[in-house]
Amino acid sequence: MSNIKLSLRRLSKSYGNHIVLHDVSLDITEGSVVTLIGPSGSGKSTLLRCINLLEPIEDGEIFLDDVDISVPGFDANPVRRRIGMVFQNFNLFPHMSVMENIILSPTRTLGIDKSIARAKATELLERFGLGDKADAYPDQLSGGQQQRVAIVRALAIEPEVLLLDEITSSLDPELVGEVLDVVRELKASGMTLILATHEMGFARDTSDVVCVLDGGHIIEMGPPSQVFTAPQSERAQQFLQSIINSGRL
Amino acid sequence: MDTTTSRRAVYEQKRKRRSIAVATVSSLIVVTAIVILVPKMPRWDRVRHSFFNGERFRESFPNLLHAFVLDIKIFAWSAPLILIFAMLVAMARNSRSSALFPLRALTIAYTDIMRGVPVILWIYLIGFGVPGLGMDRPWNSPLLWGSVALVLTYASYVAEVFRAGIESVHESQRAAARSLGLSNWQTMRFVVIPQAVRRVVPPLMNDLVSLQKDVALVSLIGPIEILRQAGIDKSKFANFTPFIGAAVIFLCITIPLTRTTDYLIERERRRTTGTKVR
Ligand SMILES: Nc1ncnc2c1ncn2[C@@H]1O[C@H](COP(=O)(O)OP(=O)(O)O)[C@@H](O)[C@H]1O
Ligand SMILES: [Mg+2]
Repeated sequence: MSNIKLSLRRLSKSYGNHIVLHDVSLDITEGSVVTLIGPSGSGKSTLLRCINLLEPIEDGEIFLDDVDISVPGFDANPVRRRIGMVFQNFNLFPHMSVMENIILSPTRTLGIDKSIARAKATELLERFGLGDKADAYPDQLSGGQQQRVAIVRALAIEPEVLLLDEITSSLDPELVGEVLDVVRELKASGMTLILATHEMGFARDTSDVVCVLDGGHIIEMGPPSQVFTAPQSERAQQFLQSIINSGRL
Repeated sequence: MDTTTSRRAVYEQKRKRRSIAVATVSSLIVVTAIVILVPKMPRWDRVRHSFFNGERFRESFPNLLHAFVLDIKIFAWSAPLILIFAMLVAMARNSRSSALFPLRALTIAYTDIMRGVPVILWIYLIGFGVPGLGMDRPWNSPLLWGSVALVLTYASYVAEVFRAGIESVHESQRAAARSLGLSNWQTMRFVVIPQAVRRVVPPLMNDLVSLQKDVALVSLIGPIEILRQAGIDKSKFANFTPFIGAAVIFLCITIPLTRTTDYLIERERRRTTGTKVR
């Protein structure tokens, strides 16, 4: 049995009277890739935001390396440096160059020397084919490049877990591939990944575990071979059928 | 022109020449009407003598310029204080911690009260009221308290400008910053405020232009700045021309400021909304 990196136990979250996550429980093994799929509005983004402590949860616990990080009043900032997050709309800081975006957190929160942070950022940019973009501003880059920069920015704080929220959903179709390649490389390097995606083929080929969310419930969970071919619940069967019908798998 | 000139370019140029001609002719008609009609007014000679007297103008202009130095000084020390204080108020008002609720309530009361009363009234109240407490020099100076009144009132307006700027920065920018482990304060300092300030430069410039003019209100509680000097010269010469001189000096400062502001607004508009629809 390998290491459990992150463990969600009966997590619940609501906005006002609207319950968005019901009793969500999930164990994430170190170095594994867990994919969240499900219709939009099913709670994928909310779940990722809760894990990153961007949203308070009402009930349940989140354990990171066996420490409950969801205790009210727990200092969230150090936790967020261990759990990186990349967003659907990149959310790069438009007033900063690519380099400044990347070294902001390392220099300000980890106290890393600027020249060291720059050297490391340059290395990461080169690794992801962005070596010549350090001085560019986000507006001057294509969507695919911006999203790769956002990934590099998240990696620069050396997180132990990376949360990816539909990171290819606002990209033109021809740019999706370059970003998915980056995710494959991260998987190969052993990073623990939790991603929400609509790229079903990618989910099937890359994930270790697939979770199907619907209305804030996990309605199906297991290895992709099982979830995509022999889903147990009726809702999951319907959802997968709709995907197959629309030609996305 | 060579053969590369497109049909569209020729057409545009013709249109442009036409509209310039129309604008010129209509301006000429208006100016001529004023030049011909105003001197026909029954008292024009008297007005010209008492408002547009070249000799009086030359006599009072150096006094006015000299007094204007005080306006510039008041502006120079008030403006930075206003910006700093306004930013602090805006940040307090935008704070999210529930522990800071009393501070938020206080800033709301402050901006509502300061903005709800004319600037001139605050200058009277603070500029006469506080020195009336009988403190020793230099704490009884109307110049000091007049400036304080300006700073407090203007900061309440500018704080609202900053607040609008801060609120215009999308929530997702904060989420991104927080997800990188930045604290609330670091998120404000490095991510939100730099973007907010960039967006509010034009309205901020508008407020600074107003401040430049309202500095003259401090004259009403004593200090001899340009408006008061103009009043003194008016009494001395029994002639209103010094007020024209003061107006000219103000325009020399405010027009360039206003033009710059418009240029900045236009540039920001172009940057954020793309090309204009014809
Ligand atoms: N800030 C919010 N306030 C109120 N309701 C929200 C908020 N964010 C998300 N929701 C609601 O929560 C549900 C789940 O949303 P989300 O997690 O974004 O779903 P997904 O990412 O799977 O599309 C939706 O019904 C959505 O309307
Ligand atoms: Mg979502």
